[in-house]
Amino acid sequence: MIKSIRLRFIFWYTLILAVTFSAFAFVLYFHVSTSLKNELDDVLLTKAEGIARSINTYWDTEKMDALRHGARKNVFSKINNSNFLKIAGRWVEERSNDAELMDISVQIYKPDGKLIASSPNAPPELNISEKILPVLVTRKTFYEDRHIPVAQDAFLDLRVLQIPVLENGKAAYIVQVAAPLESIWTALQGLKFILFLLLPVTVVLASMFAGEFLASITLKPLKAMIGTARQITAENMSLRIPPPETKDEIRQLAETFNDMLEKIHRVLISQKQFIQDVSHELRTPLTIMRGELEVALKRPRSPEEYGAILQSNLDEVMKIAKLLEELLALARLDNSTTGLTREPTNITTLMRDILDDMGILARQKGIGIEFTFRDEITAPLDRDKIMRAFINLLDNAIKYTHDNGKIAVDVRRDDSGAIITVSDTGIGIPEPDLPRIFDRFYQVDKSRSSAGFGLGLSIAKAIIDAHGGSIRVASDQSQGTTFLISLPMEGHNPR
Amino acid sequence: MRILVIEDEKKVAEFIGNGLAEEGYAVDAAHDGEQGYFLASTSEYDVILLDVMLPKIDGITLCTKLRAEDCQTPILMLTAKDAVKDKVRGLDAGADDYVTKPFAFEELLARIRSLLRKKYLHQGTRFQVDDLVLDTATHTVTRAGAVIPLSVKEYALLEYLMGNAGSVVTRAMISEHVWDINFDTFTNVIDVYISYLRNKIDKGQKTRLIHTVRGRGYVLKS
Ligand SMILES: Nc1ncnc2c1ncn2[C@@H]1O[C@H](COP(=O)(O)OP(=O)(O)OP(=O)(O)O)[C@@H](O)[C@H]1O
Ligand SMILES: [Mg+2]
Repeated sequence: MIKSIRLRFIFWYTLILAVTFSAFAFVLYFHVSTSLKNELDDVLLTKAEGIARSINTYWDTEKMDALRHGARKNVFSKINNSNFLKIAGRWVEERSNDAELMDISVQIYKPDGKLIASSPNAPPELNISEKILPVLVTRKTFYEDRHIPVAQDAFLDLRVLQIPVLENGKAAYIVQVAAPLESIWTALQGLKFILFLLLPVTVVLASMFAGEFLASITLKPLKAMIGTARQITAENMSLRIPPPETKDEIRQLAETFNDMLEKIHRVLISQKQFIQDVSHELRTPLTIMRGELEVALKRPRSPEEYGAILQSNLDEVMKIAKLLEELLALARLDNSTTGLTREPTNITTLMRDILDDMGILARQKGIGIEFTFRDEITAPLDRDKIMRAFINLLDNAIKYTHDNGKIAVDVRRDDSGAIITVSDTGIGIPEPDLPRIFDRFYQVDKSRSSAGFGLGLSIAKAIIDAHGGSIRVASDQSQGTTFLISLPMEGHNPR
Repeated sequence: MRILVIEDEKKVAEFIGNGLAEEGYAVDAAHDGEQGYFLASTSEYDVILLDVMLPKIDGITLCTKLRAEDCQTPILMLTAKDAVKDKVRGLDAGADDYVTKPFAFEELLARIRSLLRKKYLHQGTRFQVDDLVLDTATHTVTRAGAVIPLSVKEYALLEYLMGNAGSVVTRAMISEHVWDINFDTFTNVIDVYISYLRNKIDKGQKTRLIHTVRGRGYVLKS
């Protein structure tokens, strides 16, 4: 198999052109050769008929003279008439040199095949073959190709036409005209040379050049694309392939490639942002731990002081551990291979369990939680993960609601599945921040939520997305925030 | 010496405050940009430690604002390491120096001392430690009257050491202030330059002036 697209292109181009042209050459050759032969045959026929007519006229005039001189009537038949033989012989002698006849030789035979007269250019070896004589009586013309030996190893190819000249329905004599096939052959030879040698060579050469040319203009935009693609590295991902002006596959390729680059670029940027965010979140606890330890080590301290420092350091370690745990949870949710372990779960019961625990936190702030449900809903869910999502939502609701506020949780069913709403009477989320609160590490105000990392909602959303559900938020800074979660009743993983 | 710490992370502000207090500084803390601005513009401080990421008014804005209001107090920025832009912007905004989190407490102390020194040292063109004299106007260095020829880098290093004479300068401070470079591996290069300087300045002298402080850095003193 040819590996290079360019060579393949040239190969096929050449092959197709060669096949087309050779078919054309064969047809042309066949057509030319038959029409040349037909033409020659026509010429021969015209000549033969002309000669017959001419001889007959000649004979008729001679006959009139003879009549005037009182000859007997039966003598006027051409058949077996020595007079006619003489006259035909004379005609051939006188007229066969006519320029009109050119290299066509003329011979006249008696119906029994005996030669009456022969033009000087007729080859002496040319006769009339015995076997055609009976045929000639019934047929008006008889063509044949003759291959006549003229000398040692020398042959003459002739196109020969015999026509019988009739008198009262009987053959009176036979006119045989012959033309050398040589002229046709030389013509055909030339044509053969052109069609079967010159043409193929030209076609192959031309198509190789044309193929190469076509291949290069087709491949040129690809080359440009390759050049640009080579320049693209992680550092200059913003580079794009200029799509060609045309509207074809090459343009589609360029556009597809650019789309792909765009996606990779976005992933790279968010990856970079993510790493920056992670290291930023790690920096604060590390700064605290390092600083506290170094200050502590500067001089001996009391056990109480050491205790306080160790406790504070432990808190920071726990923070880092929490961050790691949350990042891991997100990474696992991102990784589609570790799917969900679904089991039929009663959402109402699950929610009641969660509220039992979270209620303790709420009560500490004097926040009341109201739980309402219209239906007992069972759906195939990954219990642990869904629990985590709701705990994150409730944790926020409690964290971002003033003391003595209210939280309401509602579970009901609709056409698409289970609908869970978690609403609070808290501080709300400013309108411009709403689209970003599900982003990783996004926090509306760093200082109002210094305990967390801004991962709670992104984890909740990732879990709900993995279940094929959706989460939406509505918020008003004077009334509070409502999260609306819908979970499908049939469990099919979206990915 | 009074120091103002503007840092929103309470525990960070707390250990800086405790550590500095133990070093004998009087420390005030502010937990956001507004409070910091209020303190900086109403009381006189010798050094301000300023976090870049602050609620209400961020560190860069606050720094620009203070400088615009003709506050001359040396400002030391506390930045996040990955944000190279932060450093440049901080210095552009008029900060005098910066440390990146998480920093070594000794590093912080050394930089504060350096800033205080800068504030009180009169900006003369002659530095003198014992019989070693450096003239910034003529770029000449003499010891006991004898001229010591120095390369450009050696001169810059000595100028920095003499500017901080008597107090420890860390390798990181040297690489940032003399070379404008901030890699840990670069400290080896600094050690080599210090040994060059020692050869030229201390070799054959009764009193050695360049001292190594183990684990901390170098100090130039008689
Ligand atoms: N119920 C709510 N009321 C008001 N603001 C909210 C509410 N829920 C979330 N937010 C805002 O959205 C931000 C993102 O929430 P998210 O749960 O992701 O992070 P976090 O609570 O700050 O930290 P973490 O959950 O990781 O401990 C919060 O910082 C907060 O500003
Ligand atoms: Mg949260």
